[in-house]
Amino acid sequence: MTRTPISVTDPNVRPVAIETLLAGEVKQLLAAGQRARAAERFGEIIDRQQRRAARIAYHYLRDPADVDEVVQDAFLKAFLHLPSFREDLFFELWFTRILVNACLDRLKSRNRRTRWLVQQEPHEGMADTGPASPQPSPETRLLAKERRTQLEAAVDRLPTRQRTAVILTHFEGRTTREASLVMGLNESTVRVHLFRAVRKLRGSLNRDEWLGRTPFDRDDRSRRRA
Amino acid sequence: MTERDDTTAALRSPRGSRLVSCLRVLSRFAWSTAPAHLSDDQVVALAVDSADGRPTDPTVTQHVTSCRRCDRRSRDAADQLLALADAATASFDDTFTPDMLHAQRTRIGRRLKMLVGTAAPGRLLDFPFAQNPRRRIHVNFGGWMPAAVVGALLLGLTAGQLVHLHPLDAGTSATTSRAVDGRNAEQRVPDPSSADPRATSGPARLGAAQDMDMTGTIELPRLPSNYTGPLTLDAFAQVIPDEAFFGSLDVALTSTQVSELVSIDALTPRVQDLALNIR
Repeated sequence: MTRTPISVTDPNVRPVAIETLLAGEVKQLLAAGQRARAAERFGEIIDRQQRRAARIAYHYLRDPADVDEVVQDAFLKAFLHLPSFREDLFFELWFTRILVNACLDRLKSRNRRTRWLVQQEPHEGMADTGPASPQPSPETRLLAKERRTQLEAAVDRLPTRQRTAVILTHFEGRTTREASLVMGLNESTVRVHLFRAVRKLRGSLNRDEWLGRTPFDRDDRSRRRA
Repeated sequence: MTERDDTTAALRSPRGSRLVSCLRVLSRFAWSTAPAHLSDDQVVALAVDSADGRPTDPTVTQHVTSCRRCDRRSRDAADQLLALADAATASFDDTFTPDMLHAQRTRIGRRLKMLVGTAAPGRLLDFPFAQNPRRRIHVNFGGWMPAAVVGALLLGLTAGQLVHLHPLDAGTSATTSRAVDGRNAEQRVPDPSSADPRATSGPARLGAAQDMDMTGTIELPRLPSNYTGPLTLDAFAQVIPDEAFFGSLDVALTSTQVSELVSIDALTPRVQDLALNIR
């Protein structure tokens, strides 16, 4: 990805100034040689960004172990390169760029590695992880899981840039302007990628699968119409 | 007669049929001038722009407000995008429990502390089934270990040189080899009672073989200490008589150390025969 400067003064970028201020403070502490104190303050940034970072990495990698490793590396990399961080930039977008690049690198290395291995079942090992909140019934839970799997598989099949555009905008709620800053692309280019991605997703999934409507729902609707 | 029958009869009259045909033409004209429905791409673009909070195309928006079908399609597309985000979030929540995130946060913190050098040194865990933790033996490898390695190397080199120069079991190996091909050796070694007195005797051969080097060679005699000339064969010929030299050479050639050459040696004339012929 090409580097595009991220500016705080851009009106289309939402204010995410807290992390940026913290990052500036950590940078000053590092410059003053107070590394322990800098690490402590950087911990606050981690607390704020960790969940979001893990979510983004998960959308790319789908493997908890890989996600864990990539997120750790991204935070440490950000801390190491913080002396070169420009304080007029948004830390969140700068860090997201580091994270996305780390995820793409991991995907490339994984593809190289698995090229010679037997293909495993998708998302193997996640079946045993129970849901965080109890579902009404096992059937509903199973159908919801199946639908999620299909959606994830459809997103995974997207080209890298389209996938990044979907993850940053629709999964993470960023604007196309912010996504363009992270991806280092023109905003209109990101919108084109996004448009093509959504069109491709609509083509690969049928409407009911996407919206989670089961055959029972369809029968119910037709009965109501009658 | 009902009212419906009156209407049917009116339409079947010549004036009524003309009216029906006019209505048909008008309805066809109205259908052709009605705005077409939005294409699928327009619906997707509308959903994407709405989700992004961007202004949408006013003509498209106006059509959606007036067309129920396109309105339903655009709402479906928007719902699909929302469902996509919800599914992604639910999938992440299912996989990454708060405990996992907490463990990850702990690991990041530990690595960060190691990076800045404030982490406590790693603790060596005991073997899980050990009843009493054993004290570790602290060995200082800095002092004596290199000296021991160098000493062992020198010792090995010295021992190797000594073994090479002074074989410990040269006689034993000679005896063993002789036992292996004893038959050939008996054929080769002449009987001292019947042999030519000028030929080298068997015991003399054995004695010479025991003095031999493992390589099957014999050492040249020492020159006088006051000798300062060049080390040529003539110089050695002055020290050792020809007969003794040829005898030693014969012993060397017929020694057990070169037993592999016995078959060739059997075809080769003896030095003594050569000496007799010369004489």
